[in-house]
Amino acid sequence: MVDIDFTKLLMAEREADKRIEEAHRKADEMLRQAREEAKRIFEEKSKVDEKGIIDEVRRELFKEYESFQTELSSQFADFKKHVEENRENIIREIVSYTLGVHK
Amino acid sequence: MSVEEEKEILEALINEIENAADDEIRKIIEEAEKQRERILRSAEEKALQERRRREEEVRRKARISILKELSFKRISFRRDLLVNKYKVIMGLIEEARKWVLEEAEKCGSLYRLGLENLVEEAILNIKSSDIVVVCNKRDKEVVEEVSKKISGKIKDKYNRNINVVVKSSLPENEYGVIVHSADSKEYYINTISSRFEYYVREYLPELLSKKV
Repeated sequence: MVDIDFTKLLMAEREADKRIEEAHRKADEMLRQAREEAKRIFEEKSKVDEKGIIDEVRRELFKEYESFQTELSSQFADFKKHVEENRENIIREIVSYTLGVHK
Repeated sequence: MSVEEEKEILEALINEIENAADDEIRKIIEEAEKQRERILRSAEEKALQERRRREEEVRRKARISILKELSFKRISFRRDLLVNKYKVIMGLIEEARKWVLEEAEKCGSLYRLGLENLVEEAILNIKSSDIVVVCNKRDKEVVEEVSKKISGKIKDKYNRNINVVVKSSLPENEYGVIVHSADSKEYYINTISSRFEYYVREYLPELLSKKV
């Protein structure tokens, strides 16, 4: 028959329970800190540079507008050139038709 | 059992309890660390999503605002070009009008040649045999000559007898002719001003077809 000193065993178990409880507390603290860290990360990394974005959009749209201006100015220049190059013929055609001498 | 053996068993049991506790503690900490990693990773992902959402929102609002500003500029720019285009076209039209008027006023060779064509075109468009040709006083003589010539031409070509009367009731500054049947049921307006307006109206779209 083994005669074991249960007092020592109980003390060892109590000590183990205390260490486990301590580990739980440590884990809880780790999680609490992690949540705080997460909150800080979220706030920090979800920030946007509004002015930078607006400036970028403005640059893009003004570039498009400049292309529009260039395109229209070029079309107008072509039109003007077309009219100048054909001015004599256009007028002659209008005059001929009006006077009834067109072919 | 000896005291020594009892001590060994007790130590073994205590060791087992401590080892079990160590395992448990390790698992608790490992699990907490994993969870910590998950929380931080999730925060990073959510922050990234939120940042994209906010950026998109700022971008959308900025586009609306800037496009509104630019639409006025676009309209203004296009309007200025259209005004310039209109000026170019009007310059052309005015030059043509001046040329036509000069030719008609001085009764130049082109005008006289054209007058015959205008009278013929107008007469051919009237079905009635009794026709009145209206012109200005200055052109009456020429129109009478031309009308006779055309009557003969029409008889030869279409075997059609027509009776033409020339009246000089057009204003002095109106050139060309208005031809109508004697009963005034048919009209053909072939004045220089109406032909000019018609041609410019018809020809203008062709000029405008060059985009601006």
